[in-house]
Amino acid sequence: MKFMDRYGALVCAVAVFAAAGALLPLHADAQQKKARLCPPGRVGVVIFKTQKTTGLRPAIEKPLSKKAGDAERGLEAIADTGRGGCLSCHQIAKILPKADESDPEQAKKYGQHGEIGSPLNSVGGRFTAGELRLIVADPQQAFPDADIAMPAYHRVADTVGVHPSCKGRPILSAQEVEDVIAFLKTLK
Amino acid sequence: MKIITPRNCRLAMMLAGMLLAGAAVAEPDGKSEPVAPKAKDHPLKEIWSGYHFQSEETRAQQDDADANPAMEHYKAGEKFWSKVAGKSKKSCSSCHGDAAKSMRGAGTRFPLYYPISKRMINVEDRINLCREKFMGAKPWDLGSKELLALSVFVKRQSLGARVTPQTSGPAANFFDKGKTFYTTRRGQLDMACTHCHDKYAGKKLRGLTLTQGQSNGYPAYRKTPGKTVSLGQQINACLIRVRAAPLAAGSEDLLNLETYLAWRGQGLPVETPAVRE
Ligand code: HEC
Ligand code: HEC
Repeated sequence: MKFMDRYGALVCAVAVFAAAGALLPLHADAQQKKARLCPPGRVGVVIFKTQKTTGLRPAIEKPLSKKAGDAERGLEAIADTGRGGCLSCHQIAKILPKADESDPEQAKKYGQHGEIGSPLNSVGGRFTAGELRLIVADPQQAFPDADIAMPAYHRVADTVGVHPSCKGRPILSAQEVEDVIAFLKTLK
Repeated sequence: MKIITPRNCRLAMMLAGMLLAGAAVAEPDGKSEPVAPKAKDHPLKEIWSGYHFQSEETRAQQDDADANPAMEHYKAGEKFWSKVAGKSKKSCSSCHGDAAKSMRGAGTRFPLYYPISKRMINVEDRINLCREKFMGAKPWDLGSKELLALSVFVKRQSLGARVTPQTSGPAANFFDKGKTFYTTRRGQLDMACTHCHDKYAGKKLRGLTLTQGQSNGYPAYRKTPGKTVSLGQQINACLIRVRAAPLAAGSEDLLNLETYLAWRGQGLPVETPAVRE
């Protein structure tokens, strides 16, 4: 399945359950372990530092990639359940018109918004690009007291039990993080 | 004709009394009224069955045995119950007789500590142990149709009976490990079970309403992907969702987690096989 081959972030419930391989019988767990949840290519340790900021909140002021972020590509990464998957948890009112009911795939991609995080409708005005960069890259650093349920998109997970195909890989590439931030900055 | 005679009045009062008594007797079952946890250190204020979060249609499907797709496994399990197998030419019923009597309550107790292997075992393991030890038959593959069928059949004999898991004594150590697993962030998405099932039950994760992740309905029919899954398979679906390594079938980690889940759902009625979106 194509989306399984994509590198990605929060795999939305529907997508994972529908995906072949998500519910392989248990005796096939060796197979399950081998199945690729994360495609090869995005290797390497991601190093970034939280920088001292001029503002009140912690941030990463310096862009992660050389090329400036592209808002349109950012929206694609946000809506793609195999990459950002942000809509699994957040609402973005602005993109609802894209959820054309006559096209079930479009309707599902842009029209189903979760309720775990708060709506992102005004985050572009409330946070600087640097603050958004840290929130997306490593929300636990951005909100240290919250035990936040949001994945860290650009910190190589040093956590327990990472799927073998995902070890050492960030969810979003540096460029994708910049693209996502470019889109978030349009939400005012 | 007078309607309100003393006799009518007494009758009406008796009826009302019976209704009230009835209401008091029916304890909350986590379907429309939450179960109150007895344990003081329980993480949830209210315990809800996954049933509570399903659509009317899905609930009706579970409630009607003829409409519940998982009941095909129950029927298959019923046949296995009295089917002779193995060297000793015995069936389950040779030892246990009528399942409705002998298996009532079994579905509420597992996982149980099993001294010989010094670990927790679930209904599936118990069935395989009986096959090996008493029937002289080969254990079934975890994940096989046969084991799914018989575990649905056995658990359903406890339909409506309350989950009363074992967590103290020799089980305590395993329970603690299960709790640690449940509350530890893992996978590339770096999330713990608690993030979805303790904090956000009732909220939408995209198109799906999150439940408390209770185990009382398993094995259960999941409408997506359209099949009946064991508890272990459901847990692995969640692990894959956060891009964590799945747990091996029958592994100690999995059984410890099942032990913690049973405690977390203490007092919920067995619903096997449940229907879930
Ligand atoms: C598993 C759930 C989940 C996913 C997936 C997720 N978030 Fe979040 N997000 C949260 C939670 C929970 C918070 C903290 C509470 C809040 O502010 O809503 C949060 C907070 C935020 C905030 C701060 C909002 C504010 O007003 O304080 C931003 C910005 C944000 N997320 C952006 C994103 C982006 C962009 C993505 C995808 C690349 C994403 N989130 C994916 C759960 C999630
Ligand atoms: C990213 C979110 C997420 C995480 C993390 C997660 N789950 Fe789930 N889980 C779901 C969704 C979505 C479903 C399907 C809807 C539901 O029943 O909540 C589900 C269903 C379940 C169910 C079935 C409940 C029922 O009544 O049918 C169980 C049991 C369960 N999860 C256990 C776990 C365990 C154990 C863990 C940790 C190892 C875990 N989950 C981690 C999202 C998650």
